[in-house]
This record gives sequence, structure tokens and C-alpha cells, in this order.
Amino acid sequence: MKSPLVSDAATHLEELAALAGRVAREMAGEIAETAELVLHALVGGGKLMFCGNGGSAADAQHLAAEYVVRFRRARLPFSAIALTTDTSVLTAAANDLGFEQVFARQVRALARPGDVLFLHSTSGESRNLLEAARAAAAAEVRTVALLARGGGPLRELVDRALIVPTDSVAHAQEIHLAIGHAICEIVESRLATEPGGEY
Amino acid sequence: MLSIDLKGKRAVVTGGSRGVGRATALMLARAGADVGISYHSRAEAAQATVADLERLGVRAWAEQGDLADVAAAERLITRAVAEFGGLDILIGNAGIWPPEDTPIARMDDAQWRRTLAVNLDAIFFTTRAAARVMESGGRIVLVGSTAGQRGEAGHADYAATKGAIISFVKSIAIELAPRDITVNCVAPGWIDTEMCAVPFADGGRERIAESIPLGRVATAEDVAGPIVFLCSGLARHITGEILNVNGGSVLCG
Repeated sequence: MKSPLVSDAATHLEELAALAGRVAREMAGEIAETAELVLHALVGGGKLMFCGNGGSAADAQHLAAEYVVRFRRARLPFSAIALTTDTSVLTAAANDLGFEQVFARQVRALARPGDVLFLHSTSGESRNLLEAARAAAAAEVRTVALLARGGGPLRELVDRALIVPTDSVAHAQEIHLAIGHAICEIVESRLATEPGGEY
Repeated sequence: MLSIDLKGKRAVVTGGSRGVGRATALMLARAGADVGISYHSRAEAAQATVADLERLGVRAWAEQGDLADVAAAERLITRAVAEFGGLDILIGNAGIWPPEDTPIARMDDAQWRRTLAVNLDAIFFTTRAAARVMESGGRIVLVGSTAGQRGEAGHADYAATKGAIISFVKSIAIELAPRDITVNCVAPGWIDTEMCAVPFADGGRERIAESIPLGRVATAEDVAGPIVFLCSGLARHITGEILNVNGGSVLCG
């Protein structure tokens, strides 16, 4: 007889697989369009910025690293930065301006027209992400939100909302990272390799 | 038998609906390369070129745009990487030659700005975008002119842009050499294309041909051949070069 632990583990993964299958069927077009938006930004010399709270902050810095360093193959570095990693900036902004400004302040400081800001949120309600989206729009930065649970108010503030059809925070974050990887793989496969192959 | 094999290479030719651009696109395709072309106004001619390219068994498409607009230039390169999966060859060919002889004292600002925008800004925008994404081993060939080397009375705007292309090529050839990307210029003289229709009228073509040491006006294919050569492995050690294709004209200019 299977232990309940095994059964629980299998259930989590089967739910995730079912959700991933649904996202592949329903959202592949939106994901491809987002990859094209990223390609256009990089062709234009723009950069990618990523932000999110908690597990989504981890997604943000995970994905920025894929672009700066590598995903699957050696190639030229891409310009990408996570807005979740500089503790001096984060604490100063939170202390002096309020936590809702921790990302918006960085967007105002770093963004240039033609950049792309990715906002990862399972609720779409975090005030610091809503402020970041508004700051990005003011800076002529394209915005992409990875959302779930219907998207929340953030869906109305961004150029492109990728809303994963789930109420599970855990599965939403897992799928957000998978979507981020899919976009990165598309982009990386189409841009130049590093001279000499492996770095 | 020696042949040029560009199978698997992915090329973009600006101004590919007619003239030198069309001839180059077709010759690249005959060598096996996938080719995307840009065009400004001749949609039917561009579609005809795409159909001819596809008949040669390669992937092909045409993108409309004014490449003097940076967004259009970047859209062109984005389409190449999105559809072809990368970019190996850029032919910067699109350009204009205002046909009326215009002495400097009578050249208006609008003509000067427009010629610089189409012939030079567009080259900068497309080459910059391509340089950001081009594969190692890539090739950039920009189309210059005899006018860029010996000047052209009555066409200072055009000559200035083509002279600038020479120094642009020499500069970025050095910059991109570490990525094993070569950058060269093919500089034609008189060519049998629509651009030369005005000076070729009323016996002009014959008079011009007599002034060329080889005694003929070039065909578009005469110019496309050297461009494709520079894109080939045969030319891998040539960069920063200006290849004259003018029947000897500059020698006696």
C-alpha cells in the first residue's frame, strides 16, 4: 500500500503537470508573443528588469541570472537585472520612502525607453508591484506581469498579463518560473553564440 | 567543383524588392541561404522576390518599413531572429540617389536630411541591431558607391553618405573582428537598375558606358556576385575592405 506521503507527493506533481498541460494548450501563443517582445527589446539594446515578492522575488533573480549568465548554451550576455537583490537600495527605499516604493524607485532610476519590466505576482495586488508598473509606464518601459488567481488589479496596469489559471500560490509560482524559462529558451536559441562556442 | 555554399545561413537584405538588393537576395538563396528582405514602397515587387526565393527552396519573407525609423530597423532584425532562429548575414543595400543634379548652393535642407536618413541613419540602425545579435562567423556587407570615394558633383548629399559608409565599415570591422564577424563594403559604379533610369535616358546609358574602361554598365548581378563572395567562406579573412565593382571607373575618375 502506498504511504500517504507518497500519495501527497504524487498529487502535488500531478496537479502541477495538469496545470502545465493546460498552460501549454491555452497560453503558448501569449508566451511566444512575450518572447518576441523580449527579442525586440534586446535587438533594440534594451534591458530586462524583474521584480516580485517572496517566492516571486526568487523567480525574479533566478530569471535575471539566466539572461546575464546562461540558460542552456554559451552565448553573448543579455542585459537583465533583478530589482530584488540590492539590500542597501531595498532597505533605504523601504525605510525612507515606504515599502510600496522599493521597486518603483529602482525603475525610475534604471529604466530607459525600450526596456521590459517583468512583474511576478500570484495575487496581482502587491502595492510595490502596482507602483512599479506605474513607474514603468511613465518611463516608456514595456511591462509583462506573470499572474494567477484572475490577475488582480495589476493586470490592468501592464502591457501584457500572463494569467495562470490556478488559485494555488505554489503552482502559480512554479508555472511562472517555467514560463520564464520557456521565454528565456526561445530568446537564447535565437541570439548569438559566444565566439568559440563554450565559454 | 568549387562553389559557394551558404546552406543554413540566415540573411537579411535591405531594399530587396528590386535592383541590386533583389539580385543579391536571389544569389544568396541560390547559394542556399534563407533570406528576409525589407522594402519600403513596392509591396508587389517584394512579394514577387519572396516567391522567387521560395522557388529556390529557402525560407523567405518580406518586411515593409522605413529603415530610417529606428523601430522599423529593429523590427526587421527581430523578425529575422524570431523566424530564422538567428542572423548570420546582413546586406545593407537600401538607399536613394536623388536623380536631379543639385549644386550645393541650391540643395535644400529637406533633401540633405532625407538622403542622410535613408542612406546613413538606416545603415546605422540596422547594423547596430544586427551587431547585437549576429552569430559568430557572421558577415555584414554594406553597399557604397564610387561616389563615396571620388565624390559626385551635383550629388553631394549622396556622396557624403557613401563616403561615411566607408569609414563606418572600417570602424566596425575592427570592433566586430573579435566575434569573427567581417564587415565590408561593395562600392558599385553605374548599374542597370531603376535608380539610374534618369541619367540613362536619351542615350545617356551609351555615353556612360563609353566612359567606363570595361565599356559596359554593370548588371545588378555583377554587383550581387562580389557581395555573395564576401559572405562566403572564401572571403573569411577579408574585413574592413572596400571592394570596387565599377568596371574600372574610379581608376580614371
